[in-house]
Amino acid sequence: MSTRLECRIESGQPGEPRVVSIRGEVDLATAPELESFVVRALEESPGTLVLDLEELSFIDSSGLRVLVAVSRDARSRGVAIQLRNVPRHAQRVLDLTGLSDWFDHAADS
Amino acid sequence: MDASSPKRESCLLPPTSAAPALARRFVETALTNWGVFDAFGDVPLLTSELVTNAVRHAASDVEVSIDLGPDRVRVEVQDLSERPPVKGDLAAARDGGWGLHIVERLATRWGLEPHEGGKTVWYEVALPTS
Repeated sequence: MSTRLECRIESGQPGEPRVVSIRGEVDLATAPELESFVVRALEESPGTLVLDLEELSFIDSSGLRVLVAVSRDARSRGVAIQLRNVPRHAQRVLDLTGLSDWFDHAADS
Repeated sequence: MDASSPKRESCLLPPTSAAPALARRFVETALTNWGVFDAFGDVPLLTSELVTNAVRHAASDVEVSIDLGPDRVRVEVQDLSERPPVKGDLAAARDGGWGLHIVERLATRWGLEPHEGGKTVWYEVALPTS
């Protein structure tokens, strides 16, 4: 089931933040993959990194843990992480755990 | 499906990182076969959380059972660790504890039953009344 998660980086227009698109399921098995992908992207993204969750089909607390960890990591590097196109199921989990306000949100596209 | 047929399924999962996804597929299949998948949309998430806890803290196989009653679904996750699951501190944003907060918020009832050599964590979700 190693293909359950796909991450891809979109290099935007010059001057625009880079975007990591996350597709599939984030759980105990795929969370480490997401973490290493986003940490690599952080290293190449001065300023702001946007995580686009439009095609995220499932996330549980293992995934939340990664989102919190990478956003801490980003802050320590002076990078802002923003979430974009958060699906309803993911917003619900963020709300239930009180983590919603923890993240900056980019305008949906 | 015959309304009188027993609606209970179980599966045994090895304690690997694949177990939460396998458990989700298992409960989704059971609910679909029973024709109630749409009524119990939170069950895959809740099951994923309990199985994740079991795999992280127990080195034994994990048994997942799902049981449909007239007005609720019940899921049990049994492992061979006597260590109870830990509910983390939300404010401190600690890892490991959010799963049980999600279960506490979304399940109608949930509980822990220790038994010799292991434990069962269970939850129930009531059939929506509408």
